[in-house]
Amino acid sequence: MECVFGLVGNGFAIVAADTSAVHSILVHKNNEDKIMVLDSHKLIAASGEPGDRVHFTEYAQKNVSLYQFRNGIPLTTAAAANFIRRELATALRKNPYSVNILMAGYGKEAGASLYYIDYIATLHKVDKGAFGYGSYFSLSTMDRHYRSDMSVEEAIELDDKCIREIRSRLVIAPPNFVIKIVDKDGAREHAWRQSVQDVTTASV
Amino acid sequence: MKLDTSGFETSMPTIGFGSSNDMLDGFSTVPSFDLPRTTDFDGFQKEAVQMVKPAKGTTTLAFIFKEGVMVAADSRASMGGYISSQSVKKIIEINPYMLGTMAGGAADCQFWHRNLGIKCRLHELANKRRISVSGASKLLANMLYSYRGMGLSVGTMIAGWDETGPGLYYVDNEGGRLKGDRFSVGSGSPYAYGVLDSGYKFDMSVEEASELARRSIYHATFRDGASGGVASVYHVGPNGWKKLSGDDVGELHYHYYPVPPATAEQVMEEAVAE
Repeated sequence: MECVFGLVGNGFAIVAADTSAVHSILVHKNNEDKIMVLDSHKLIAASGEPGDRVHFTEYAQKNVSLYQFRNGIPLTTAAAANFIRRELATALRKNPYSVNILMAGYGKEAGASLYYIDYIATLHKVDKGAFGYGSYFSLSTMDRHYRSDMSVEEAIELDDKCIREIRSRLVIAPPNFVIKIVDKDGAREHAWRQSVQDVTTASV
Repeated sequence: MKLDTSGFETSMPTIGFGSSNDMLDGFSTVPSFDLPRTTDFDGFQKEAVQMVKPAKGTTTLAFIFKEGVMVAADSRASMGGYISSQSVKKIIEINPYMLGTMAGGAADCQFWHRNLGIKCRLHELANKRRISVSGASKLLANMLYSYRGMGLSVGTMIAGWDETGPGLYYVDNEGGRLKGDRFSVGSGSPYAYGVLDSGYKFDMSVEEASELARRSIYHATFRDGASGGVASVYHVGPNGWKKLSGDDVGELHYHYYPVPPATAEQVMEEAVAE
């Protein structure tokens, strides 16, 4: 039920994730940010079991920072993706992490890139990818409308198409999404798409 | 898997029995314990987890409002269909400015909250300042995460007041940790959410908030068989926590919905007067 999807455009990569924290039939939280900023130019959108998701992504983030402290230069996107895959693979036959990851990054030589890393340590460099039940709807939408030289506005339009499709067709669709972008200026939050706001004042 | 066994104090360095040596690289003193002797180790684990799973029979809730954090819980302990106690303390006092709620296994919650209290005190002594609610909840979440899959049953909320103001975190036995303004945990939580969400305003006074908390617990105990007993309400303010009330939910029922005098008696009196 956790929907994560992303795509690569012209000099940028964009990822979107739902923001519901759910426990069986209960929604505990509607604005949980599942896209972690790994460093200045990398994002990981993670979906999976809540404890594993937070624990593993924080572990990855701390190790990426450690590399930068020790060596004075940041990891490339490809190196970080392979590090994450290696950690998942080592843990796989001992105590596996149930996390699926889409990693978006920008590097000077490689440009913008997106990596698909699933819970059994599969790694692919992709132009577009998705996880969760939402992937059944967003993948085909992206396949149909994607072009490799999309501008930010066109990519956001495509994202909105996918979100609208998920909301209308998925039986228990998450109401809110967060969209984050990474380009030469860094990784940052781009927009929220909220159809249910966490009520802080009750309506009588 | 590296376990956080700092809760078990031991000064004797021992090598783990039956554990493979590559896990001990870099750790010269690793306390360990015997694994159960069984042929079906996976099945044994699964049974243990399944047995504890339905046991979050309780209603606890907490919310942040203008004057701090309001924490409330019922007091019933049930074992399947048998009510084993109506007077369980489900709000645990970690230290004078932090509370924890108990849902799931009573032993697990009590032990780990006590353990958390120890760690918070050690932090205070080492750093000469109080630990934040965020830090305390992260300590607890990390401890529980290292035991994931082993059948712990803990669904707790850590509520407190630190330098940044009121704080509320939900932590569970899978290692999940959520920061939020309103949470309810337990089998009665959907019922409590219904009353809590519709009556919640940020700008409430302490009296209004405690009444909302008490009412939410009452309605949950009304519908959920695994919740009942006494509805306790605590308030956490800038100077620490204070217990506000503890009302029997049976008496609360007649307080909220008093029974009007029966009309049958009036009819009988008329017949006698004739």
